[in-house]
Amino acid sequence: MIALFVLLEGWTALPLIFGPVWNPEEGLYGVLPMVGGSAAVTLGALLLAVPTGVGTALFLTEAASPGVAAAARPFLQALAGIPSVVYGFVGLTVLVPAIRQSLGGPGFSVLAGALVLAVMILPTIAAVAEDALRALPPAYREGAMALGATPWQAVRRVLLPAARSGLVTAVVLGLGRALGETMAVLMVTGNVASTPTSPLAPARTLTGSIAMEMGYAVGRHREALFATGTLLLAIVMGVNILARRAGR
Amino acid sequence: MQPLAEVLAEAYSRQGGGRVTIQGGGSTAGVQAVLSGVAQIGAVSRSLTDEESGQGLVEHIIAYDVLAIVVHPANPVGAISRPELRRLFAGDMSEWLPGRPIHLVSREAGSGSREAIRSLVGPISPRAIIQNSSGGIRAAVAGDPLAVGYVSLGVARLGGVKALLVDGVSPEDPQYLLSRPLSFVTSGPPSGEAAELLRFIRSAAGQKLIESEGLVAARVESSRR
Repeated sequence: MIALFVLLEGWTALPLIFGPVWNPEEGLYGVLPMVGGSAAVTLGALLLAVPTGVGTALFLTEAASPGVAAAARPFLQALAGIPSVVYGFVGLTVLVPAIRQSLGGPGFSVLAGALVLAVMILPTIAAVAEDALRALPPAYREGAMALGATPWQAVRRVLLPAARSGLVTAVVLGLGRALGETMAVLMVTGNVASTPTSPLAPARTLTGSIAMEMGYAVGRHREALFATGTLLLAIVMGVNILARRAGR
Repeated sequence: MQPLAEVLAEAYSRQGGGRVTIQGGGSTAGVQAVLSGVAQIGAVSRSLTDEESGQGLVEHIIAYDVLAIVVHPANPVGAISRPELRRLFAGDMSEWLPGRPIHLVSREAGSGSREAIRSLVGPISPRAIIQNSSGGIRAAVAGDPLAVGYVSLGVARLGGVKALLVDGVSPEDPQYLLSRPLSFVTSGPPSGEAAELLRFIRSAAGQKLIESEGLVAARVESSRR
């Protein structure tokens, strides 16, 4: 129903949004820069969080003693429970100046957004990946060991492929959360409405665009924001469909 | 204006007035809420547009907000002229010194502060970093020696940033140029609880509260320019 409402509120502006310039004060509503911004930040976050998350899950299921594993789980859950505005605030006061001082540029950047998002989606990816790995029958591990595989060979050639559909689910959940995250990203990416050309350039995401301007937008502008929302919904649905196919 | 509204509402309730609920969202959101009947009073930190005034809105100026141009305390620049400020915000000046680029930080479109700067100074470069609150701008400028932005004087006084003299005048001085009216608008003349609240705000107690928030009381208007 929500999808229907969003679509209906914005569909007259839908053709308008496929352009390269977003300048509501001049009547231009192209969202291409924001698509670029969302893509850059989300991809960056996945690149950082998927290896780390799956690695954490593997560590918890294969290498950690039961004591360590038991201690790590509540810690991950706590990370997942922190409100996003807190992440944004820490990003704004600590991460952005750090990036500016060590790497240059204004500090408000795709990199800052990707780092903050990576920390936010890590618990989700790790938890779902861990469940997927834990659900594998012990026979897989025992069989691999009996055939003389090293632990790493067992992981790479047996466990990961076997847990594939669960791992894909983990990545898709992480991707969905990253695409939809608004507040934290808004505080650290700089919100400049132009397509980012490097990880150190500022960017604006689709979600940030809607959140910043919805409160005061009227008429065409408001419709364009709803159209942006429809686009976002379409992207998330598309990703989910692709992932379901890949997971089979 | 939200912090101001909350302080006034709390004082009003404490001295026997009714309950006041407050929602934030910016000046245009306030106008829209009053026009649609959702709210009795809208807090507006800019002048009403001709279109808005034509719809029967009555503007009650309760204070003047002074907008400070702020830079990092380590920035050697201490003063700026109005034409230079205009060029700075338009994006025509790209460096403080060769090799030290200017990082302009602004509010989002629709913010009263941004509208005030646009009408008092000039257009704002589309390359400016955008933060969606004065607090966000203060945090950004306090963390970056190359940044410059604009915040309310009350927010600037919280520290971490340095306010520039504009045409030689400090924002603390009544002759300072960059100030904007803060009003409560009502649809038609105020009545009932809304009128009571406005009466309280215009009283000596209300105006004193406004001064303590770092704003200039409306009754002092006749002495400004």
